[in-house]
Amino acid sequence: MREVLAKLNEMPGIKGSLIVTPDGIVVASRMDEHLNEETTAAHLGNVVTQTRRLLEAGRFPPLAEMVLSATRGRIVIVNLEIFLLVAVTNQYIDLDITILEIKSAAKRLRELATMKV
Amino acid sequence: MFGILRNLREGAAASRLRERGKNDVRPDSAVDLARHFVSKGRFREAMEVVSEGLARFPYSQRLRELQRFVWRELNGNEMTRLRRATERDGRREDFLELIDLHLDCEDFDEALLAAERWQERDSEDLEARLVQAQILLERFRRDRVAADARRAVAILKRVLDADPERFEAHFALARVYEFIGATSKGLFHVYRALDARPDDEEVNALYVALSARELEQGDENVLLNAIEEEADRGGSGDVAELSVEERRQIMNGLVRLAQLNGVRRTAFVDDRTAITAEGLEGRVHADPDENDLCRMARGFRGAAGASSRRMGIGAFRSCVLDCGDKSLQVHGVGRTIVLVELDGAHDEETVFAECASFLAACLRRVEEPSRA
Repeated sequence: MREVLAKLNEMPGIKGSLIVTPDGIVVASRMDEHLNEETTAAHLGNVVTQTRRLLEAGRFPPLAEMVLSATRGRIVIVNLEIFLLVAVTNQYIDLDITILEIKSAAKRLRELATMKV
Repeated sequence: MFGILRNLREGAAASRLRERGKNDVRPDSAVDLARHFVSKGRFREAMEVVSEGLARFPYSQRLRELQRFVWRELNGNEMTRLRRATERDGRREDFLELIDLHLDCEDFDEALLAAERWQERDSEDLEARLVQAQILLERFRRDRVAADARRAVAILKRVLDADPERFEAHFALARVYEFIGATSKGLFHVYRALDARPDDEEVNALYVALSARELEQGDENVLLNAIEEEADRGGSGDVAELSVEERRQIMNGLVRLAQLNGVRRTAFVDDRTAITAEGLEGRVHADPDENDLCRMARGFRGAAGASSRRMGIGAFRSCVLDCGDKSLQVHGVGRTIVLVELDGAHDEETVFAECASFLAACLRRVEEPSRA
């Protein structure tokens, strides 16, 4: 898992990546020195839990992907059901290319998870 | 001959766009005019249009993107020259010039990277650390991300470890402590700054301001968290009621969004109102308590607004949620949120640009109070 994250982090503009459970517990992570892993994970857990709750209340299908953009960066979340792959990027990335890379990493992680099961 | 005709046509197109821009309540005309100048290679004129546009629509993402692009076109060669010079010679003057250039365009991230490279190159140079701290503090004042202030304070304390009398470090610490309301710590550093430069006007003014304050009730972290929370709430103070004209413009904007291909429903929520529109005919509802879309917008504002700063990515601007057959786009600044529910085929980029433009128009600077 760490290797997949390390490879993902080689993409330009990606500051860090994590695998977290839907309630924000970190399974694996590779983060830029200026990002706090625990804080990021805890807040991600909050955002994801609240978002899922809101989507359920609005009778939306389950969340597959989420791209949250802010003044200084983006958070890209891919839902792998048992856990979430999260990439933290800068604000200038080419989102189309980055999302392809993140999805490719998500596919690899899904394969790893299936192998373990 | 053909050249003259072409110039006349281009001039007429620019005049038309300028005229349209005068009455446009959205940033679209400014974007179109700036793009027109960019396509003709007239970058200085493009920058003027972008700057004027941003003065009216400070939250227009497209104008911000254009500003960065045009700035790079205008300063790209100088930036490359300075970057090469810093890599080759590592001179302090070149680093400072490069950092200034980035700060001209409010590109704090690049400025910070340059300052970090400077420090890596010369780890003993306290000036590099001071500049880093100052950039972080400027970014903190803009984005209200507490992590920036914490990093800056840590750097300034390291400077003081190496040089306990360093005026700039004491002054910078006094200023940041004054800003967050840590009066006693601010006073400590302002006294030290006054010891070094007793006649400095800025330090004396800061001393007067700090002396008039009550001592803080919480520690530094509590005060910094309070700054973030205040920014999440979109600033303090009462917000003026919506005028009839403003309400009409919001409704029209929502209806326009609802009529885009693939859009099912749209919602606008701020502290004053909550309105939704749906369907091709653009039915408008203003019963927020009964509406699940408004509840969703409010819920999302609470979750994402507070968390994005704490995750270190700054103030929330937008979110795209893909739920298979359906998706949602949420755009927001402070307490104002625009939410769009989509299903089936839609052009995500068009919807995104329209939503961003609508939000920028809703937050345009007329006389309304500014919101972080």
